[in-house]
Amino acid sequence: MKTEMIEPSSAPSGFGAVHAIRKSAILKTYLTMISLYIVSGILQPHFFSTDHVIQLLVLASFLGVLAIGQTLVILTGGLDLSLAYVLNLGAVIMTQVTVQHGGGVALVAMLAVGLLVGLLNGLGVAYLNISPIIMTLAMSSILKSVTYVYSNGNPKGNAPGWLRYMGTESFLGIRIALWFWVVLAAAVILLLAKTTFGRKIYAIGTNARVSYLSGIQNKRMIVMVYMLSALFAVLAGMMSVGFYGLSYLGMGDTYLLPTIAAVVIGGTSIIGGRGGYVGTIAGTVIIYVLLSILTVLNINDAGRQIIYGLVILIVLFLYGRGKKVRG
Amino acid sequence: MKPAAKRKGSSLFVRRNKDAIMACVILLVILVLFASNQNDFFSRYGPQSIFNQVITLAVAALAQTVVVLTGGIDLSVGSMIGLTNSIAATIMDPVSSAVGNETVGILLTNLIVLAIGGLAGLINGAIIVYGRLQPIVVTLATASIYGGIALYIRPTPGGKVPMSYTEFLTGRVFTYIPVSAVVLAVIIGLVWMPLRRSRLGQSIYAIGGNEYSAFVSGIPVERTKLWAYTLSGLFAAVAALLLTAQTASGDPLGSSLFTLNSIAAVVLGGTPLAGGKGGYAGAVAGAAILSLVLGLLIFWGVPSFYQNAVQGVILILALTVGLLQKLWRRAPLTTSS
Repeated sequence: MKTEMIEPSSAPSGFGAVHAIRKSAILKTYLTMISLYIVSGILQPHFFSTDHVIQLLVLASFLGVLAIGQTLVILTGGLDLSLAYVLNLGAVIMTQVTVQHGGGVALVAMLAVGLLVGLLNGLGVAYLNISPIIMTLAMSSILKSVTYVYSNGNPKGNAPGWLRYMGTESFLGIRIALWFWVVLAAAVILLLAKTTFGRKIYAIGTNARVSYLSGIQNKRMIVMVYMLSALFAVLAGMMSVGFYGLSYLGMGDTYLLPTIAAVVIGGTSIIGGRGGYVGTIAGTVIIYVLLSILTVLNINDAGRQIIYGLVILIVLFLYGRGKKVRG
Repeated sequence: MKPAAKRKGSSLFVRRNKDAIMACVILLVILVLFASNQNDFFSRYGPQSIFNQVITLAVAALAQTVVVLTGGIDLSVGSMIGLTNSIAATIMDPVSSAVGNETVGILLTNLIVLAIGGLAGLINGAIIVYGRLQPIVVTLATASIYGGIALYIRPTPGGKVPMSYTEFLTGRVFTYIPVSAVVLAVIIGLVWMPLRRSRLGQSIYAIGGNEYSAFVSGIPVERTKLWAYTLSGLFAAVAALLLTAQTASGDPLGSSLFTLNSIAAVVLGGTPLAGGKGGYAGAVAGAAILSLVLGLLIFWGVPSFYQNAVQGVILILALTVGLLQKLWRRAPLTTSS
């Protein structure tokens, strides 16, 4: 069942295509993604061009990298509401430290701060037994202030040269930012499917007590997952800095709820234990294809929010339903 | 149950609210600090300003509490407040002039807004119950939808609210008693406490304690959940009506902070997100702490951008102390998260 979720190709054959689709959330997600893309192409034929696809994927790559951490955390049965503010702090550190000490120091500082924030989140969740929503919510509040105080309300500095290059140049016809996402995505998919670390994440999300009794160091694992989550968030912040060339306050605000939406649309169960990053990729792309459709249809902000919510609901009805309770 | 409750009523109250004690202690400290900083604290303006600062978040926290007690969570509280606030500020004036009497118009508007709030909550509940979906993602989606509708109704903040409405709800009765305190007392005394004693109230707690046990004991889980979310929508509408009086305008997006702040208030008040435990006392105390700490920082001249950090630190410290209490009271926790 679980491997089927992660690798649709390895689903037992002989059940027939319809059955496979009905059983696999991943297939449904990708079918939704492709159908939405075809709809967008019908509405605006220019969308079928390679240029557009690459542009769309580059925009999606920031959310894609950010959602890696959210996927890992949700798989353990947690939730990380601090990602948007970790992203923002990471971005501000990147530009401000670059001014004084150069890009290399900035990179190290940014990664260190990311790991520290993740460590604190993880310690709070695992050792203080604070519920993940609350711990990361409190961390968001704190980071908001920290970012404001550190930048004095007005972040200074620019992206270092190599980062600007990464954000704007291409390699083999594909933007480097996109390569970055591809590499990270491949690493995470392998991590989840092929390593004991990945299997432990699923075990904790499925049943924390059983995994604990099976000898898994739950607490240590959870701390590491939150550290990874914050790490990917600062990396997403770094990518944004590369793309825009600078940092500003509120950089991550628009990403907070979409990270959860991308994971859930991607078929990962919000209570943990089921799903994976393969689905989240499709979930991320679906969000951006949807945004492009809404832009083409010239729908105002109010309509966009309504449709955005409706699409999440529809997708949930497609594959997010629980079993009926029987006595 | 009933006679036992009567015989040692005070101890039942203490037992039911023991998780809120931490919040009450923090609140007491904050109030003492308030009293020593605010010169007119003991005048008739003191309580008025305090209750006006606290009331909207307190009612929003009650909206969140009903749902959290069932073991769910409502991420659409802020959007429901934004929606009903926008509607209230938009229709209050036209309705008043259509009816021809300002007081009747205001009352009618309030009823309409409450109905819309209840309906929004009922929709949440129906999707969660009949769709068999997780509350957190459903309310995340409906939050977006309600926010969109609010934005459609009021593309920009504004609207018209009669002066008398603002003056009444933010003013005082009998010279000393703030109207917001009366409103809070009415909500708790005439809505919450009867509800807590009713079959519905018991069912809400039972579901939060153990949904499956509640189900096999014959508690109508689905209907109870529908009611819980409907009540959440109703309380959100009440919060919105109070907000409308305070700001004298409708803001479609400005209320989004209420979602996370209401969750923070509930948890700060000792109600665990797992459900089944807690109540109004913690929610109100938690909301009061979060609102009043801002006032305190302003008194002390602390720059406004430290406020978020202070709120976050208080939240973590309160929960940590709560955990230490538990560790001290009984053996170390063996279950790991």
